[in-house]
Amino acid sequence: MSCLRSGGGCRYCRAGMSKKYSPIRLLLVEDDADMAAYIREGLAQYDIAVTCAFDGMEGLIHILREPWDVVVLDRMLPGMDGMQVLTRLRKEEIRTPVLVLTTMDGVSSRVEGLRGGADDYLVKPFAMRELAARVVVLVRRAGPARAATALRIAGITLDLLSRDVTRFGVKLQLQPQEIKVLEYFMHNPGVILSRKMLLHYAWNVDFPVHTNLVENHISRLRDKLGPDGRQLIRTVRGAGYIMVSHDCPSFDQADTAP
Amino acid sequence: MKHRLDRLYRIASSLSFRIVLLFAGLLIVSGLFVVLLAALHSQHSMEQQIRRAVIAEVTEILSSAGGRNLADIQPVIQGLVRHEPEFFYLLQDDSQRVVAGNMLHLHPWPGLRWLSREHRRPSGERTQMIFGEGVLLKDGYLFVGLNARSLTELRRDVWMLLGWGVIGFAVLGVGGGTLLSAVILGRIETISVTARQIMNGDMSRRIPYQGGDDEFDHLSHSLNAMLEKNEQLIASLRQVSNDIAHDMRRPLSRLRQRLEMAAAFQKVSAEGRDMIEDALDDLDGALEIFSSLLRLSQIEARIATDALSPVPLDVLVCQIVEMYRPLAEDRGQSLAAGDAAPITVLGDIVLLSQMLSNLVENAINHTPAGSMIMVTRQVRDDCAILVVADNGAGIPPESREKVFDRFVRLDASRSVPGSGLGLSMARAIVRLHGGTIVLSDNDPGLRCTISIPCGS
Repeated sequence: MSCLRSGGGCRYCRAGMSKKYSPIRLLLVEDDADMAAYIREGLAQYDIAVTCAFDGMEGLIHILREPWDVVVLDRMLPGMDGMQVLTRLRKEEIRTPVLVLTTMDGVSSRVEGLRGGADDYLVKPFAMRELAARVVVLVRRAGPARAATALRIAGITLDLLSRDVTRFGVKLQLQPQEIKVLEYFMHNPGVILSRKMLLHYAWNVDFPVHTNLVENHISRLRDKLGPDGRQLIRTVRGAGYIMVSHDCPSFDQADTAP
Repeated sequence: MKHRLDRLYRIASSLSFRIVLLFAGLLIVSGLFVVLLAALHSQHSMEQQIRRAVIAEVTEILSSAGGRNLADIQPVIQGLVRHEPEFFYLLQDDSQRVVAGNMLHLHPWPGLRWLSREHRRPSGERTQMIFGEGVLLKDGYLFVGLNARSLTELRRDVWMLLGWGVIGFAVLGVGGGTLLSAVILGRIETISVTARQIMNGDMSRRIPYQGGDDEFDHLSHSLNAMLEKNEQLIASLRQVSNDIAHDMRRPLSRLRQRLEMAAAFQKVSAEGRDMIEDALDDLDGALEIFSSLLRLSQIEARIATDALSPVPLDVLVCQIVEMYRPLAEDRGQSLAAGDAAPITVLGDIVLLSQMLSNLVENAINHTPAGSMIMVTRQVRDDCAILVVADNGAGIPPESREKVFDRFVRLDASRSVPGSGLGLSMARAIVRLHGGTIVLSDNDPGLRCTISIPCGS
């Protein structure tokens, strides 16, 4: 398998999929065969196994027949469209995380999608690593780790109930927004989180910002985490940020991946 | 009560009401003119009649006296007065001593004259007016007159008529105007209710007809036809936008895909990969502008909104200010929100937060270190007033309207990040909410005032 980057980026972008875990099983419902092939090949680099369905009905049959880790649903499909598929499978009490792919027609589809029961959405065209990161985040969120009451990475403990953050037992003075960002990173160690994802998760902002708002908050967070803050939350050029830690399997095993 | 007063005020200030009042006024003036003319004419003919009678009497007196001396006339007058006559007679000598007749003495004044009440008869009987002819004699003065009560009565009647006429016309004018205006306002109200519903996004609304085939129905027909056309245009605009988005998606996706694949290609050098990464960044920037533009036109065409819901504006302001405060502080600027009571407007919370965020970013990006940025809000006249003010360089007055246009970036801010769409977007969002956005001088700096109606 080829690496996106020969340097540090590659091992982190593998999104926590070491051989200890089976690869993510993803169902892609997309009518455009070229696009589907591109996504399948692209996600394969991140150890995500993609199965394609080419219309809504076929997708729905796949979803009802076997369990999936995540479903990626194109909004515009011939016949039964993405929203109808989504509504149907939510009616069937299927809780599989769903990411909706939309075209650029903006807010209305976003609102419609999230109301229809989608867990995330992504506007086409997108960067492959952004899709990969969002898929991994969705799968992790649905996983059992969600039941924990505290997150622990590299000596940082985030108590999910009291919202207290300690580093090596010392309480850190973080702003609520910084805790939110940190929580997002700690839920998803080893996953590149893009600026868009951070804006959406921490501030619920889905429009472009033209200031270095995210960079600013990250650098404050790094300073508060300790002298190794810059190593804990690393910048991946052109992609976003990644929390790395030696407890994180992806970090240990990234180099041994094929 | 307030509603009723409001409605009365609206009726009174309506055009139809004023037109009816104007016509009532014109009618009053022309009516007055006609009545006055008629009155003058009848008074004149009455005077003529009296005059003829008086002159005939004078001629008869003079002829029966057989001369123009006091002594000749005296017995004639005395004879006439004895029989309680219709006429008034006065015969006086040069020293104004009454020689004969049934009147008090007069200034000897020849010709036709009006006498007022002090010249009543010696018996004390009141007569209102006397109209008669005076004749200068060689050694005295003769006056023969008639009771002119009918004339004064005529005059009084004319004034009464005029007065009642004015009152009648005024009552008719105001009443008719009110009625007419109420009817017309009712019709106009149905049109404006429909217009508001359409403005709020219900494009399928049409003005109802009254079935009378009157001019309002004709107007409604034309307006409905226009609305039909507009709805079709907007639908096709939406279609075109969607088509563009759809058509662009494929080549751009492919371009992105190829670039990503190229970056992943083993033989590409580190420098080559960096260049491809830069190209990807540029492509993403272009895509972002493209989608912002699309979104902007959707907002302007009012097809991008979710259903409006109550938005706590004061909370939103605090959130946005909290979000940007650390960034502003790092740049050496201060960003603060003024205190305010809770303000709720009916709106789209996503769009309103984008609007606020755009304005705050604008202030942060265009003011130097050490600047103060203040976001205040208040309620005035049922409107939520938001002010984003800074003490930076400001915008010269001649450019203040221009900066709302798409892609307009003033020379001074070429180096500042941004797409040149932020203010256009802010204005489109404010307009979508039925509000206004105005840039003014903060002396020094820029003051951006947004006013959004609180109600529906």
